[in-house]
Amino acid sequence: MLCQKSFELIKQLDSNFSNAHELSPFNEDNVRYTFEECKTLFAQNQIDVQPVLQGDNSNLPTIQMRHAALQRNKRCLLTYVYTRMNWVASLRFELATVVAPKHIKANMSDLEVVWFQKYSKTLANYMKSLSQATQTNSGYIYPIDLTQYTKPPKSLFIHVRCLKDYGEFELSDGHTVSLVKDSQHYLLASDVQDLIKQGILEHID
Amino acid sequence: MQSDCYKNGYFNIQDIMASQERISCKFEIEIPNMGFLDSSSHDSNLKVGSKLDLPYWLIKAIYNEKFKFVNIDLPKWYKKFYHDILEADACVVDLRKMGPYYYDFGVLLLNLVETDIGLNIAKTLLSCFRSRFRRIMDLSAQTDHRDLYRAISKLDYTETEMYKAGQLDANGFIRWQRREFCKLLPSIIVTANKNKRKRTDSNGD
Repeated sequence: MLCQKSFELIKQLDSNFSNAHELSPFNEDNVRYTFEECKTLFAQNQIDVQPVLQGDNSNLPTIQMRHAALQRNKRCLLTYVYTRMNWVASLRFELATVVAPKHIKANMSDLEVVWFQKYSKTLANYMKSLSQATQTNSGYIYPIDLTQYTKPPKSLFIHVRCLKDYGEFELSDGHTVSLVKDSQHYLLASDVQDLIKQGILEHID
Repeated sequence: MQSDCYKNGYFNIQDIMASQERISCKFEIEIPNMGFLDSSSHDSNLKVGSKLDLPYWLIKAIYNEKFKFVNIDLPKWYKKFYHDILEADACVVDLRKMGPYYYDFGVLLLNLVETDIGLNIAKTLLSCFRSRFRRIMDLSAQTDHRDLYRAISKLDYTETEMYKAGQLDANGFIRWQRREFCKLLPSIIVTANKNKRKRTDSNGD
């Protein structure tokens, strides 16, 4: 059946993102198969289009159907990479880390890994340029991190509890705290919200 | 070739899934080199009169204003008989059984059929949606999951999405009342992964 493999890619996306928030392994086999199918369809169409150019229309429906299949494959493939790309980009904001966690990285294709690095770099450059625009007359640069404060903060300091051993953690004022499992701290929200996102600390009231 | 209009955008997964639904059709002319679509014949050409179930996107290419190479037979769910059932009481009908993308596919079908039939389908879809909408809103405001299961299993994809959105808001309201909304939470990716680990760990024991 035409376009079966490319549709499987879409089905895979659908089941992944609606049920669990995780990336499935990049389906290299189906992508390659679809490429081959496209090449074959295109080559066959090129042969069949010759009589049509000379005024013989008997091949027209076949060409139409192959063309539709090509378009369909294109749409499925593009949607597959596009949706995954958006998901990978959201990682940077969700986890506030420039290194994707191992279990996610294992499911990314090589190109996606490279793309994520480039995206992080571009975003960092952008944030740097924003920061520089805030430079006051006295020369102070206010650092802007777009991944911070995705929710409006209620208070500057918050109580947190460690969920796992993390080790020494340097705060923005230069002090260090040691984050040991089950210890509780009262820290600046801006310092610790990345660790909360990553599931190392828990925000308690 | 006429430009395809994509209802919800080119990269919309729901739209791609809906356009994969099959329609049965009968071929009016012989189509060269497309015999492989009909698994019951070994001929290289698709014979006149062969009946096939083809996905919507393929039918669209050979059945439109310019070309009418096939005769299509509307899926029974969109025929007069089921219109009457839906008119009698839309709330008790199992829309998921009638194709998980009942509304989306119905809207796509409008591109294929004659104006008067299309108008009927559109009217039925609208009145069906109208009478079911209130019930879905009521369901999504409930937080008890035990009674819900049977009711939810009758919703089609669009309705399920709406139900989920309603439930998200209902939960958000409860959290707002408890003043939990300003609490910083770990990323959903981390939470999903942690739950998965736990399951596999307990399986291993």
